[in-house]
Amino acid sequence: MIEIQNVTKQFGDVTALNHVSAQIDEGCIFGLVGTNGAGKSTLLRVAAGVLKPEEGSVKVDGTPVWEEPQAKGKICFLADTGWFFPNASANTMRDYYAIVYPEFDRARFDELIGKFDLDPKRKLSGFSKGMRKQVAVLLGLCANTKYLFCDETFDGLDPVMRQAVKSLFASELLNRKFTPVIASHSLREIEDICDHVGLLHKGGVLFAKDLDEMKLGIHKLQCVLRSEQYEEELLSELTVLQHEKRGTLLTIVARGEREAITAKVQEKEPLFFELLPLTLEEIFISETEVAGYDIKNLIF
Amino acid sequence: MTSRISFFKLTINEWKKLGWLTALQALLFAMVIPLRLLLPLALEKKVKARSIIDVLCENVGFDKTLTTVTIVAMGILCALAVFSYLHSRKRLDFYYSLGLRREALFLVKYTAGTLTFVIPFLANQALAVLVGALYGVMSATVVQEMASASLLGILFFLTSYSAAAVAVLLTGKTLTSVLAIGTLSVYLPMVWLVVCGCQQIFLPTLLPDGVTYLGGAYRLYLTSRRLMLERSSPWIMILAWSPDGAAVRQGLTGMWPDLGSICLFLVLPAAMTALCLALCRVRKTEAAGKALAFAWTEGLIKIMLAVPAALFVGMAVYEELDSVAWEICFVAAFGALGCVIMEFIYRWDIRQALAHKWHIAVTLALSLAIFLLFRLDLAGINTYLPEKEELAAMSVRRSYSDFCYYDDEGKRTKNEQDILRLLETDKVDLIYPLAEDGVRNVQESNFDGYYVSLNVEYRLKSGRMVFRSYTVNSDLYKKAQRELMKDEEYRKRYYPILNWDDERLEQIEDIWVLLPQELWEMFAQENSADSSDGKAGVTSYDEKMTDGLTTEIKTAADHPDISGELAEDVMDGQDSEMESDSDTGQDAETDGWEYSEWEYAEYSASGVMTGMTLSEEAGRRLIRAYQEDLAESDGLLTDVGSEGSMSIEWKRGLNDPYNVDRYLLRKDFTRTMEVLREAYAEGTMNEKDMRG
Repeated sequence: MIEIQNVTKQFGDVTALNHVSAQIDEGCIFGLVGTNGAGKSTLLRVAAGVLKPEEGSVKVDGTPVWEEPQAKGKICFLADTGWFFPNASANTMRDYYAIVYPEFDRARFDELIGKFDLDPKRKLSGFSKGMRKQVAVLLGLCANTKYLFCDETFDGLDPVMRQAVKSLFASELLNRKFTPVIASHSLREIEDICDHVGLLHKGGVLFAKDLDEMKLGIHKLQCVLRSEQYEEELLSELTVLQHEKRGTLLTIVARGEREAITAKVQEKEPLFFELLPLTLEEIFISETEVAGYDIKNLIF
Repeated sequence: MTSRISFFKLTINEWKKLGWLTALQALLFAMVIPLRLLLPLALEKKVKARSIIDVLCENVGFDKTLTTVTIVAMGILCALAVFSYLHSRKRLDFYYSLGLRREALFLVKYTAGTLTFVIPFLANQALAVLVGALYGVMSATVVQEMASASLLGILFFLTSYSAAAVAVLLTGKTLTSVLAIGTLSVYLPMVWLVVCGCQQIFLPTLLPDGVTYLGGAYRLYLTSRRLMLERSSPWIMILAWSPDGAAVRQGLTGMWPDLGSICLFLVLPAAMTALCLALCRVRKTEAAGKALAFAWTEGLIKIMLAVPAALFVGMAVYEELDSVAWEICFVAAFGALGCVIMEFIYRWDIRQALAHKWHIAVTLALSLAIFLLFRLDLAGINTYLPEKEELAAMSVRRSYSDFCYYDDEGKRTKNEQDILRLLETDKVDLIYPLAEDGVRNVQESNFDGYYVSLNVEYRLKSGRMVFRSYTVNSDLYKKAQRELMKDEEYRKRYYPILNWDDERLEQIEDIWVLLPQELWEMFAQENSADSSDGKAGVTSYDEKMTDGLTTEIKTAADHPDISGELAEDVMDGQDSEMESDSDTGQDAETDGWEYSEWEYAEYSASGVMTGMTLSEEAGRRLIRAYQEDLAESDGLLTDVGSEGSMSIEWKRGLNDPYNVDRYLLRKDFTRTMEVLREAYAEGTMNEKDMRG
């Protein structure tokens, strides 16, 4: 478990993190989202032991991470500005990772690099941005560390590769203690990967919750009712966050228990009714509104 | 987990990544060590064992400037290359996220960088030994010396490398690292030059080392000043290091360094590496990309660089314009400009060049305060003249007499202040007018007639001692000196030669006389007239002299006797007299350089001086005659008809390393001249190669 306790980090006059506290449980895929400059990279760098916070601390399994090799050894950090040695190939990096990450799985790396159709002997400087990100992710996965911090790592991956990486993460989660933390400025990039999400804004964490928990309290439904009067009654009876009507099709995002919402709609004897899966964006709208923020202006 | 990271494996991996650096150094050291040795050996057709050793001495082993310079340069290059990760955020994100402490990572890098030097350097040293062996020179001594030289070379590298690493850690960019290395190298000597320059230009009466005796504090000051100049930076220490200056013993191919040198260069890199590790701990990751790693150093460094620069400009403007108003303007302008340039280097943004205005304000305040302190003599150093009633004693001495003074223990007194203390007299009334004239002259700068440069000591009744250097009317000085010399005890103190007894004369190693060529020729003619056989030996001796033993003395610095001391004096800042003399235009009389007087002496119109050594017996006769002549004269050696000099070299160790006394000769020293003529006639004199 990673405990971020009251962390403050300043760069000169700029406060990048302002008393941030959060907890990342083991075994989840944690998404860290926020706008550019929200402090995502800084938080990951502090958590990885790269930066020393002015205040607060980050503990990995109860051990402070700053200058503590044992705690840092449990983390593999893939920075947004991923760096490889000059003239290095995937094999060169593999050899280095094998030294600095004693649990590094060479055989798995060789296998995966083949599956991803990457030439292990070719210079990485000749790879595309996306290919370099693939190598970085494979190195991080094969480092076999308990925690993997990925800063904007998925932003350059195409949907196929993202799906492949997602599968790899799922596999890792099944096979060993593995907790990836993925930072991104786009909800859409990580919504199909993460099960826990934290939202950073202006150096502070707005919230960090389980996606499923958030989904339990908010629902999106589409229905066709018999009259406009029914529609007005339904809208007034539900805690509506958002609604839209196209023709006779009414779409509503409402807060509340699934059963209660369904019952309210059924009372109006709809001609058509179904509950739809919510996007991460829609969930965030509601949650940040609760926190008092107009999130639409922040991240979309 | 982390403890399983292998330091050895990581170091080797890092070293492999620095392959280009290893290759570069291998190539450079191959050219500087074995190839430089091999070429002269290969080109020489008939090489004897002895000459091979000579070639070895010249090209490998200790104190080879080219090798040392290459080592120093490689130390700097390696530090810049190896620790460049500290200047890159990308690389720091990578390295600092590893399960390693920063200090451990630094040591890994440090060791890898060291290997890039040690391996090619040792390989090339070994190749040099092999080259010697191929040409038939192989002995345990050669191998031992090469091994010792290799050890010292490694220590030099580590010193340079560690010092450059400190500079890299203190900065956040490669450019500022290079600038920091340059600044650290020469900052203290440059500041010292500026301070000395200000003293010499604006405070000409301040006798160098002119601090009062404070229970030996001033000796400490002298020592610390020399240490500061020679040890002002690790790189200067390496380049200034020479086995000749240390206690050495002769090896087969050269000199051996003493243990102290080795210990010094062991301690220095160790201390700097410890400093690096401490800096690693406190240096923030976000320092990468900034000009300086520690923000608090920005203002300090800016001011420390801008103030001396402004003072230097102030001195230059004084020399050209001599206008206080303009000098203040230029000092202020260049102080501010220095700050602006530094701020630009920090930010690399011209729009922020005027940021931190308080830095500029502090720089201007300090620059102007220090400059005006010197320029306007706000401390009243030039005009200092105590009341006569306050004085317990005074002493006076012309600068740069070449004979030595000795303390109660018989050791040579090297410092002017010490000498003045030895010459103290309570006849204040005789010396005080000289001081008054000196103070008047420094204020008015209105010279009329001949002037001499004098050093004066005031000993106040309070116990305080003050030293000054004045330009004083020559006639006034002569009058005072003649009066002082009437006191036999004072004369003996002033001229230590008058106290030399037989026991002391036993310690003489060699005596040689330097006279104008015309005087030697006159001796030859007189001897020819006295001799019926024509003095064939003397004639041939003259031929020898004219064949190549004649030495033309053009400047004081050419003189082998004085050059060493002169160099020391110049270091002490005592060459200000040359400038004041040129101002007055009284070269022969006022500058205290006895050599220039020779050019005006009756027999030295040609300026050609010839040196001759005397036999031991003739030398003693000469000194005895000189003692009598000097005792009976008016006691002025430097102004009346000086014809040349006699130099007495003492046996090694007596006054080492300044083991030569030089006394001027006068044509009216009849006994002395007679002894010289006799010795010349007897053929007991031999040529002295004055070219040293």
